Amino acid sequence: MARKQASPYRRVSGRNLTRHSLWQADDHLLHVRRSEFTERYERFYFRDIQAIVIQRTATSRVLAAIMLGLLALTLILALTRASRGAMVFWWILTAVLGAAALWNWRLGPTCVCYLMTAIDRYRLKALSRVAAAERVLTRLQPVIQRAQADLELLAAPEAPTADRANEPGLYLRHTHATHAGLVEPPPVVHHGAVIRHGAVIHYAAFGLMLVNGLCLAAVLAWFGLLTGVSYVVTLAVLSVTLILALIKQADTDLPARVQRCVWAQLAYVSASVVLSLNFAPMSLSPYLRPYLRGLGMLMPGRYGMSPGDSPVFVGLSIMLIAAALLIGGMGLVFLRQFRQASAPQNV
Amino acid sequence: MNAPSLLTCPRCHRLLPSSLFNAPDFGVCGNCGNTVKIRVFPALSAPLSAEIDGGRAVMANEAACFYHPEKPAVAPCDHCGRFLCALCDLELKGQHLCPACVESGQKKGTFHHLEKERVLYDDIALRVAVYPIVTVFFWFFTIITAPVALFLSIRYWNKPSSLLPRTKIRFLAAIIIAMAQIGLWGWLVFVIWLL
Repeated sequence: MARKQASPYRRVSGRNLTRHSLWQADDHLLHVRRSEFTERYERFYFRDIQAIVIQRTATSRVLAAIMLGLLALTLILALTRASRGAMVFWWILTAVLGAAALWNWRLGPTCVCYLMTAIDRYRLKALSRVAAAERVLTRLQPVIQRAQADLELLAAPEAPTADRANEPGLYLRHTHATHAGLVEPPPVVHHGAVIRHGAVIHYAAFGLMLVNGLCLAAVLAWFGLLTGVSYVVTLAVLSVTLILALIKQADTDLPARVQRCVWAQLAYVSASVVLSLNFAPMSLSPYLRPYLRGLGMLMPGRYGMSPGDSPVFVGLSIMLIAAALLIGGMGLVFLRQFRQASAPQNV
Repeated sequence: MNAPSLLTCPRCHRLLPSSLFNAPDFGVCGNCGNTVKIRVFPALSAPLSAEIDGGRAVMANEAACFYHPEKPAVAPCDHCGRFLCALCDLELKGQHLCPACVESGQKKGTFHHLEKERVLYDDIALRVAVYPIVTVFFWFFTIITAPVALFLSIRYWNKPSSLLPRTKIRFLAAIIIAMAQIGLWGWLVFVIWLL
């Protein structure tokens, strides 16, 4: 009764629980996107595939940094808790984070995979890890080459010449992906465009990071409601700005080192959120003591303490202040250099 | 492979050097430093045929395209029989079809290989059966959801589900769960009636 329907498709990538998957038929690839109750299909005939591009990304490293940072924090909290309930909670969290970090490490570096046809460039979301993408590429390469065997004969004698730029239709073939075929792309004042659309938010993010670092230093020096709230508020604004910067930089050609600084900011913000969650009860307890009793199990002994009383808190705070000043400062310097380098092109 | 550089970097959209094509390892985009690995295939550098460019004008005593009377016909549509020029001739699974037939076939669902989306009724039936139990608080909704799940399972049992390999196990599970729920309601009503 539960017999499988006959299907021409064989799975190439993706698992049952994932949203995207890639399937192979005799003459085409099928990219499937699953939503709640529907499946959407995109077909790529082997004969039409012009290229497959794997672009390595830093996501796995950022994930690893965040997970290891959180792992270290939960480990410290697990080791320093006195109450049995809190210890069990933090140890379970440490185990979960450890398993996630191991899983991330096992899957290897992340990537974005694109498939080019004459019409468009498609992102294959089913392929998000380099190892899987390379495995799929190795599997598909002979199949695609077999499907294009006659095209190979046509293409072989042709050398890349500028004459082909005048060939009718060639420009159209690559309009979306390249905005030009063999024709040199139209002159783009790309740095200027980036400054207008992307870098302003990056300036704000790096600036806010410096302010946030100083606020944290103020929390350590003059602990109180005002310093605590200012730190949390700047952290919240920084988080929003950071998300905007990450979205903006995806389509710009900001230098890689600036983009790396933004990713490092993400790790900083994650660690800061955990830290602020831990110190919020300290900051607010004199005012909200009656309402915060429930937190006592997870963070016993926090009420009435100042941050200086906890060596772990002081150590982490100093590390975060150093990171904020370093990353924020470096980011601003890199952005300034980038702006100076692109200034003549804007004239 | 002697392919011209027609590819651009996914990040900065500048042309990538052809030295990166089919290189064994990852290479770096000279403009933005993006790390990429590129496999190109003959379709990238294959010249466009004159036919696809539009072809020559129709000559005397030649059959002309139904849609473009100034172009010579190259094939008749296998569905409606109209003469088609190289631009209008769409080859699908070995069949020559005109754009109108392809469009109507897509609307009617005649061409399965043009389908873009399918609804997974087995998933719907299973979730309708399971969600009220999982959410615990809404268990009493099963008085409505169980018959609905049963109806969906029976109504769409034979309807094509996914294009991918898929069993009827979800339908089966939905039927069993729905029948169990209906049975429990029946038992509950019976007990209340006895009391």
